[in-house]
Amino acid sequence: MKSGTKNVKVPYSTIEKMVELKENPFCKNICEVFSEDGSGDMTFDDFLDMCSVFSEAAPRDIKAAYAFKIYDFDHDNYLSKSDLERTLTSLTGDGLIRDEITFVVSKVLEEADLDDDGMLSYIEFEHVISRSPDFISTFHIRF
Amino acid sequence: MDQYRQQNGREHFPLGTVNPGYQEEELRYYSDVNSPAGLYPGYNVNSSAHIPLDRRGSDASSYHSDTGPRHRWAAQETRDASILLDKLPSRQLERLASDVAQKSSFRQKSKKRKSLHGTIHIPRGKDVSKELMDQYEEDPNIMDEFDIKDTTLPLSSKMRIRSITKKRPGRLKSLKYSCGIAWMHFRQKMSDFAFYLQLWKGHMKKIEGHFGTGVLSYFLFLQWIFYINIPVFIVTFGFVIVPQLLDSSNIYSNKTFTGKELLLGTGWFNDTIMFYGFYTNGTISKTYEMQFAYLLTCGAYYIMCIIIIALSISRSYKTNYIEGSGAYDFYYVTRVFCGWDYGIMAVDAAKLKHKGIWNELKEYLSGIQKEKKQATCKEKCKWIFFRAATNLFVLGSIGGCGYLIYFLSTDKRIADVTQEELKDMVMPLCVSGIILILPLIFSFIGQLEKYEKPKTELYVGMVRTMLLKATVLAVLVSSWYRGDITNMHPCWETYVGQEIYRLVIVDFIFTLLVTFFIEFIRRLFKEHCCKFLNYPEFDIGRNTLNLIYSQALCWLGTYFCPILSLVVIIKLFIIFYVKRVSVILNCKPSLRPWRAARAHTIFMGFLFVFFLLSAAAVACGIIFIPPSRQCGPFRNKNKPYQIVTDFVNNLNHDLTWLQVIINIISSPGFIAGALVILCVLTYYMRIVMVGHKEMVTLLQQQLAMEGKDKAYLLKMLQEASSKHKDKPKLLDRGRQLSPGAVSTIESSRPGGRQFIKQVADSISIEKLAEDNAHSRARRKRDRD
Repeated sequence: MKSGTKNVKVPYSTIEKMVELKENPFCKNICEVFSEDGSGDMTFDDFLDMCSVFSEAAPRDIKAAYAFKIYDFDHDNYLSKSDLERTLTSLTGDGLIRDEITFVVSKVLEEADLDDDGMLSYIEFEHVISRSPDFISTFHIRF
Repeated sequence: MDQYRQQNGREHFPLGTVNPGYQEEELRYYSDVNSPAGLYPGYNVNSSAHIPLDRRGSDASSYHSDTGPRHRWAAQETRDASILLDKLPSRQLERLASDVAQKSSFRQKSKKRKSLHGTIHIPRGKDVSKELMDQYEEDPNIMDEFDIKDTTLPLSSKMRIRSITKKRPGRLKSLKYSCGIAWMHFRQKMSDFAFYLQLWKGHMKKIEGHFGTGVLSYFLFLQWIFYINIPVFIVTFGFVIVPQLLDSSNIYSNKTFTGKELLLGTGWFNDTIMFYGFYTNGTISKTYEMQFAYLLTCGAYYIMCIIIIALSISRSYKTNYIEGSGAYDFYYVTRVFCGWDYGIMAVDAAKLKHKGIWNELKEYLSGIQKEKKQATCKEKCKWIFFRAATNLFVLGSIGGCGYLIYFLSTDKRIADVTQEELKDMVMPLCVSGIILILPLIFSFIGQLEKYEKPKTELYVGMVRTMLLKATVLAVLVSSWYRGDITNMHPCWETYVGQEIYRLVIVDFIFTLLVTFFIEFIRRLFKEHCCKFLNYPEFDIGRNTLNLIYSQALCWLGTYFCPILSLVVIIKLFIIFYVKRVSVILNCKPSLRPWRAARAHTIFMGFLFVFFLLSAAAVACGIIFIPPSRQCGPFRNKNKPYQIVTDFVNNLNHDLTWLQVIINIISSPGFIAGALVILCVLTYYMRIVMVGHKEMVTLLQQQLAMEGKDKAYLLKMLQEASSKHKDKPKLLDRGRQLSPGAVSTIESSRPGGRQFIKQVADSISIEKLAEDNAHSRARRKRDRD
């Protein structure tokens, strides 16, 4: 029984219909980050992982680490310009024109990119996020 | 990596590995020489090429003029650049940092863990769990203290690691572990239990799903106030009400209960445990002295409340203002990364949130592009006059309200009104009416004033509203203490208790009516006849301030009406459901963003101020105002506080030392001394804080400089490597391979690990230290 349940995977197409995730613009990234093979299909363990990270009790740095992974669209452990652009597009829902997106992205980098290499590493991301009181209250799903 | 670390440990070359800036200085020699052939061991670094520091600044600035050199090299050949970047010392530093931090966290226990980001292991390679297991094989002890829960590994890997690393501990250790595990299980059970007890979980989820964290913050605040009233009620119930109920000498009145007492608090309620007047001044079952019980309970719940509020306000302040200070320089970052509310579940809410973020960014962008047009002098004067006038008007109306209440409390005609109910209800209706209508006028005025930021408008409105409420309550309290009432009523404390009870009830009714009319009826109108109306929005600020007012009434009245906390608990319970239904049915989410975290601190601040005011008012009543002669626990005393002084004076015979201590503590000299010490401590803390702040800005400047240095060096490296690439074709083939293969081949090329090590080898430690001292001195001079 135990070994049987371990291998069962819920496909991404089912998980994305969950009421908690279906309106989330980062739904796909969330599923990919938490599924062990990166496909978006989840085992029960993966699902538990997700619940625990989004719960109220999860410490701030765990949350920040996962947020970083969620915003890292190309999984290269850096938030590059294209990552940021895609984040913004997901957030505003195609509302902003190209120039505005580029402008906002450059502003984000200006604010957070401490070592001036044109992308955000985890340390830089964490540095900013750890100071934002809004982060904990918004990065939280009541399952 | 491992090899590098070992090397590093052996050679004591810490500066370079910790601060990329130092490394860069050394790298500079090579980049300037521009000859990769010289990178091999044996090359004499001491020979020449020490670039003076003053050139740094000029170089950096010169190349920063062409806006971002990195963009140039990044554009040249992205792949090349990324390989270069990956070889940079600081990149390796990052890995090293996380490695070292993890390593150290194995050894030291969790205390240190919070301080640094390091312990969170961001899996970089594919199989991090394998890495961990390797570490475990190196040193089997590390798993003892290492809490695997705090890593970001997937659950299955955690379980695998745990199953592999499981071993049989010694007998003593196993006892220790089983105790620990039992304790952990117990705690887990308790927290599960608390989770079940938690009220309104489902509702909270639904509200957050539809309206986001802003509206939810109101409901959380309501829940919080609901919770702090519970211990207050338990304390009063246990130590005052129950003993009084057990007292055999109770005299209950023979009045009948008709129902309107619920509204008025008079009649049948007069002679029940509801009000101060009913409590006896004797002893219950020969040992329990009601006087002390009453006074001490009163003190106890005020102290309890102040502790709870102070703790939660300090926590909120700490997270929002101290740890979060500077977060508001990060405007865009917080918009982008904290913009989405992960709790949102409804389609409409999600659409609105998209639109809200879009709006906010758009507004900000247009604000930047427009450039702030300088207001002319005339314009400025106009606004100053206008705002002065509005402020005068607001203050005037607050003063007017204060006078109105004063007038009502003194006017003889009201006392002559024959109809009892009307006479009793005049004051609460008036007060609640003022508190309902004036804030609406204030918010209208706030819109007229056209502040630049909506935040300012919101806070100005809040301060005005709270000033109004404080004034109204202050006038009321002073009218109770002034003497007319103490003379007019045989048992004035009961009268005051009834007055506060009526205020609470009328406030409750008004809240229900407002919810009904402003939210429900408006929606009906919108849906059925007047299409031009908008759906109502939930006004978080106004509603929360109302909660604070009602809680202030509760704190004010608990002394006069011990059961008031129960009344407030019931009231809050009903309000929660009414608001919850109304908000889901009638309201639509607001487009204006609500910074819940920050607003919470401000609400807590208001709550704290109101708590202090009401506690001070009650304390004045206890210390200075003579109690009624015919009723209540203090009927034969001049002042309620007298029982304490009497008690201390009676200690003479048996407990002289206690009396001495009390006398010393209450002597003016001691109090003054304590105050002085507190002031000195505060001052010292302030000095330390200012020092830290200066240090932080200094370090930030330094960091920025290092960043510029690095960008400059990158450019040089890029050039060097592109020249170098043309020559040895053989090495270049490595680049066609996978990144892993590249790193093995390239480690001896500029920027590689091997390269750094060679640099480290070739520089003698003395030289390094000398250089560092040198550069530090220079840097200091530059700064000055």
